[in-house]
Amino acid sequence: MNPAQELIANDVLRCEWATAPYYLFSDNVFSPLIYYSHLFPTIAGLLLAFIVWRQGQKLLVNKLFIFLSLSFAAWCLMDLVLWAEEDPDIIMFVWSALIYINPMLYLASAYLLYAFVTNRDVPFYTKIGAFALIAPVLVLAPTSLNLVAFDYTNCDREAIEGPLWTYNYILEILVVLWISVFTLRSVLREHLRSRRIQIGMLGVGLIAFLAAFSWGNIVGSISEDWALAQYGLFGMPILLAVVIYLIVRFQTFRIQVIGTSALVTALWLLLFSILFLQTLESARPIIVATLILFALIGIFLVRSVRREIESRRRVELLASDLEKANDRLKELDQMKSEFLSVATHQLRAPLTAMRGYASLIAEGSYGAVNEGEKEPLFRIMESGRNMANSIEDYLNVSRIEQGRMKFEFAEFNLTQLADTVVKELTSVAERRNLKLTLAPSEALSVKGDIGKIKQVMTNYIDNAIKYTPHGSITVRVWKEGNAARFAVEDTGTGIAADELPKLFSKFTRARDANKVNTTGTGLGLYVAKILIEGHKGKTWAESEGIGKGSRFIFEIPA
Amino acid sequence: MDTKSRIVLAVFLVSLGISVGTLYWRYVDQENYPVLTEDTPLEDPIWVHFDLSSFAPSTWLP
Repeated sequence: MNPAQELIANDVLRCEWATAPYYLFSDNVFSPLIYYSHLFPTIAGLLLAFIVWRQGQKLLVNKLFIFLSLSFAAWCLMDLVLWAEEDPDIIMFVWSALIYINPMLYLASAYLLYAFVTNRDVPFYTKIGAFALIAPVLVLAPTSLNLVAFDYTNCDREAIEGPLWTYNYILEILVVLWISVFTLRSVLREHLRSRRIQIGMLGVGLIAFLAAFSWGNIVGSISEDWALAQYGLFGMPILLAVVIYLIVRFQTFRIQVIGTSALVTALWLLLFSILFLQTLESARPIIVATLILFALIGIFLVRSVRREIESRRRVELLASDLEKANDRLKELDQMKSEFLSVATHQLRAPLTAMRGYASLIAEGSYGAVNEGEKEPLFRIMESGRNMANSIEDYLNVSRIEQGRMKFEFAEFNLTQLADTVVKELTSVAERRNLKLTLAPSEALSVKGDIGKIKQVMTNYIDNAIKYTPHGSITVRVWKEGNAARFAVEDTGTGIAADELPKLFSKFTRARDANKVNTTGTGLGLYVAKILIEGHKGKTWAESEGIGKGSRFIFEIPA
Repeated sequence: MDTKSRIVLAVFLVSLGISVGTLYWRYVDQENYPVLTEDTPLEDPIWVHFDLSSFAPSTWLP
């Protein structure tokens, strides 16, 4: 039995109070206005918090707005418990717990405005300062400085607030003043008109909300007429109307315009709640307030829907144009690939004839050739080979882009293939005074497309010949775990570390490649990479740096 | 949110939890609070009981 029950039991008190199911509903709430003033802002605040949460909970301002709405909803529900509940234990507990929510509501409002205006979080020392302001409340809330006593005088069921509440009210007034000054200063400093309106409206909305709230509580606390404080709760619908306007007009909080239609639900609830009012007399001011609010929000909503329909129509037109342009681009790309394929085939045939006849002439098939004539013939053959390689690269890229690259897998000896390629290119290397050798390697059987692998090997060695002014080129084949590796090491120009990862991209060449070799297309290594990836393998290059040679490697499953 | 802010938030939440828990224990569990009636009125309801002894747990501990 609590102290109040003891007094009732001893017939000291003769108060009769109704019990409150779910802590909220009882005849102790003498006026429907109290339900109206508490439940409507609670539902509207929760609804808006939900919409903001659904559409952008990652933004700091949105998080703060959600926190503010939830805190206010909690405050309203707890305050309603005080009206409905008859148990002094519950009343004392809930009333004393309200002391936590009040300063948090105010500081969160200031935090929201700061984050909205500056687009950044508050400095760390400010957070420490805010914590220091709330700390006395946290520490002293359970003491008699919070609630002095439970007052049963005239069966009032009220708590007597202690000096901690005075501290709280002073804090509230200071925060409202800070918000006023900060809003004014920010509006004056802002150059962009629309932004100025947004800051001004949010600031005024917050000031109206907090001032109404403070006024209600302070007047209630001093006069002990808590029915007056109910009007303070209508500050939330004012803030709500401002926020709705900001959302609709400026897309503040990054909420889609269509989301505001959900707010109409709040208005339906508002109208629905009027049904619970017992007399027309008490309903009249509420109906007038509702009508004004409904008219304002209705205008904004209709405008926003119209704007949204127009912008959607524009987007649809743009999307249609974009689709047509995309189809045309695809068509052009296909034509380009086909043209490239046909053109390169047409080029390859006469080139093969030129190289063949030059080779036959150099070998003396058409009569003796003197030493002076041999050099130009070799140059014709080498230029022809380079051109044939470039054409092959273009053809391969064309096949890759058209998805026509096909692989014919069969078992073959990788070491033997490397030996063949080395022998084919030895004469080319020798003409440049380079020593091309295959390091002693064991026979290594792999399954793959021999033509494609030969092409990659040729590309690697060919590159090494082109980019090695003097020295040697060594080819190695070996087994590494379950993979077969092929590497070409040279003593050439080397590659800078930042260039290495880009070498195998399309149309990419090392920075100073043109100084050494002007015939490269930047496609050879890209094609090599695609061909090796077609074997479920990988390609990479290593180099100690510029002037320190390089090593090109590929690996395929053995 | 940076680490320092998280620490401040954590300290705040823990303090809040302890404070609310203590409130519940005092008012609902222990039912420890004075009751005023017409027979025992307070002349100044806000300031009358404010003295340093309010800080002492003995004022509300059982």
